[in-house]
Amino acid sequence: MNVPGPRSQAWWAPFAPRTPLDAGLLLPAGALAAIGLLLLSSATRTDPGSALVQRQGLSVCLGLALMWVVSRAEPKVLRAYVPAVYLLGLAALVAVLTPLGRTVNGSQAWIALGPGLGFQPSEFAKVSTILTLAGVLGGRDDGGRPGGRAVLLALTLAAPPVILIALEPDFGTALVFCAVTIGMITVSGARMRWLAGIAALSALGLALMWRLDLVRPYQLRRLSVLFHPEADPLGSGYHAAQSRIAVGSGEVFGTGLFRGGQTAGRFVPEQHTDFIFTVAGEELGFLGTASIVLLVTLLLWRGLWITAVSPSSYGTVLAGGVVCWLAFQSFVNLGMTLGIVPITGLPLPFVSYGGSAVIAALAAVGLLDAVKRAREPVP
Amino acid sequence: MALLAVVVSSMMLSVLGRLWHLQIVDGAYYARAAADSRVRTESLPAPAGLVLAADGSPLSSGALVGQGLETWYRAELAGRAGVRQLAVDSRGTVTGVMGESAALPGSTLTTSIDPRIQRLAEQTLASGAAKTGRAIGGAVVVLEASTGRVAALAGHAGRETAARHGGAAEVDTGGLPSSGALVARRPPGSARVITSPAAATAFGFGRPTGIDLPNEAAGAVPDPARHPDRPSASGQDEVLVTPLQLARAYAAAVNGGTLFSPRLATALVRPDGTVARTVVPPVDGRVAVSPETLRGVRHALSVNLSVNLSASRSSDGTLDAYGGPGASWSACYVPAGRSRYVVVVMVPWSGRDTAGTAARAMREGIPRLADASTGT
Repeated sequence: MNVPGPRSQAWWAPFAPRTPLDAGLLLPAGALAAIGLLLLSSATRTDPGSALVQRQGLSVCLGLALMWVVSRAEPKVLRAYVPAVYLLGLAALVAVLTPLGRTVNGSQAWIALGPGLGFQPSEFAKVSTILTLAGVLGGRDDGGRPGGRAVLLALTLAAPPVILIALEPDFGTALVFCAVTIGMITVSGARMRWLAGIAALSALGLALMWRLDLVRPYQLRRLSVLFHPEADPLGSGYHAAQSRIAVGSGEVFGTGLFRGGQTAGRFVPEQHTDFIFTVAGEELGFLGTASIVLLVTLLLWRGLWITAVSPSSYGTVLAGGVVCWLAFQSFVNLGMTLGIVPITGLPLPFVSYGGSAVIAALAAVGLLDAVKRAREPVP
Repeated sequence: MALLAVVVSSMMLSVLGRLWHLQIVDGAYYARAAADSRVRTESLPAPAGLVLAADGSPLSSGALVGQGLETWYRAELAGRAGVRQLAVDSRGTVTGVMGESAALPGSTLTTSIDPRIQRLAEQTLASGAAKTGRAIGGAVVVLEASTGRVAALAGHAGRETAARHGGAAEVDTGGLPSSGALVARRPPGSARVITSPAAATAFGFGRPTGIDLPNEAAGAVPDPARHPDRPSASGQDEVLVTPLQLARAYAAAVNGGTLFSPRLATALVRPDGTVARTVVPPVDGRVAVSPETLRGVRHALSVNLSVNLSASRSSDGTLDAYGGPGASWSACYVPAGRSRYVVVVMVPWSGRDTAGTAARAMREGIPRLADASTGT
């Protein structure tokens, strides 16, 4: 769009509205966040004192602002900050394990900033880790595949956050880091033998965990109720069964927003956070849930396209990392809600209640936009 | 990249497929499961109807009401329970009412029981029992002769009677609680006038009277064909009658031969005051016996004021004529006001005059009650 007048070269030039956010990213992400607010207000409607909607609304606004700021950044500039960002993320993950950390639902994953205010370092560590791994794996300016040293370095850098998060313990989030790491190594074009090696190591690790009894009993129960929902009807099975009942009862059209009896009766535990999708299932029906899945898919496809067309390998790996994160976490969340994946405490990106999560996810969308902008000629 | 695209697409496709299955294929099932988990059904008990005496006061004779009339008229008295569907949340806390069908209160049962005669009968029976030192097994029946309605029915439950009197030969309640008035027992002495095998069937012996109370005994009448040489007097050995059977037989003798199936109930009245059902004692038969016999009975009952049936034939029927302690019986006819009552008293384990004394008390007491109510 040509605006009459002198061309501005001021410091705020990159922030000028001439270079809007990519609609293919902004629209699905914004729509998902808006749907999340609606579902949240429905899930909390029987609790008149709840301020969760206002808080989440504020988080979404912060996240959108951060997304816009991040999207303006030059990937090269971002790369320069990688060591600082990585160390900061790691420091927060260490801090959360000290008495500074706050325990919610058995995981010491929050740092309290004040009464009722806290943040979850593991969410920001997702962004910082993706930035770090992209810097390592997409390091070659000639666009060539990363060598063995780069892959080893990436694995070495990815290990501390995974271990720290597993110690909280937050097994689901640790898995996200693993998926992101493996996905980014794949996207970077590293040799297949590295991937095969990682797969072998993972299998070995799992076997070790099993042998050393590191698998917790509740994790086994969650796994078993996936195949036998009736096995533990009052514990893990209750959660899985209520989740499926709420989603299934919506049928094609749903009961209508704010009209779901299962939602009003609070039959599904953790419905405003990890199980927010059950509200959509009951109240919006298949039309609503399929639309949400479609929005997630559109966003991921746009991210895949950005990954594919990025001129730099750094951009490719960075965007690929974001896509892997959002795809894996969305799939695990939807899957556990629908009973095809064991129950793991992972929020649905953009939709679930959780300030840190939504801010981090929107910032990640900003990263995708930054990668996309990097391929456009600077005006 | 292509690999990533395939992985992402198949993840989302599997989610969509699962959604299709849950919400569309099995949606109706889950909708039902959801509704079931949210709704708690509560029964709304219906207020039970009252049982009223003839004067409109609540009938207070416990056993007669509780184990008798309330059992017989259970459906009408109980009404129909309502149902309320409550919305509940996951903790079972009620969040609202989804639907309600109101309870239908039971009807009120009006009876022909005259509370004053009933009280007199119970007192009379109690004093008779006091004489024998045994509080169970006796009966006083007061029938309105011309209608077949029961004005009073006092008696003790029969289960203990059965045990104490040593078996089915004397007491036949079918093993269930019953009024003493419905329990079969050997009738003594001059009762053979109408309990002789020849007349017994005509007077309704050997079968339940059909009164509106549960657990009525049928009694027994010997088969005349088996005892062709032993009519009447010797045949009475095997006649078992209940005080109620005897009372309606005397009533038939007094009213000219109509054998009623006695009724305590007169009507069932709905809560709104409308009559659901009027109860009239059905005619169970006509007694085709000679006018002389009828006249004889009537004469015996009225002229002698109180015919002590057991006394009229020495020890027969009163004391261990059959190897065990017996009962004394007495019957009388009492005109009082516009009503004509037939009273039958039976006191087990008693001496020969116990029932007679009781019957005389009834014979004298009932007209006084009628006088009191008419103000004379």
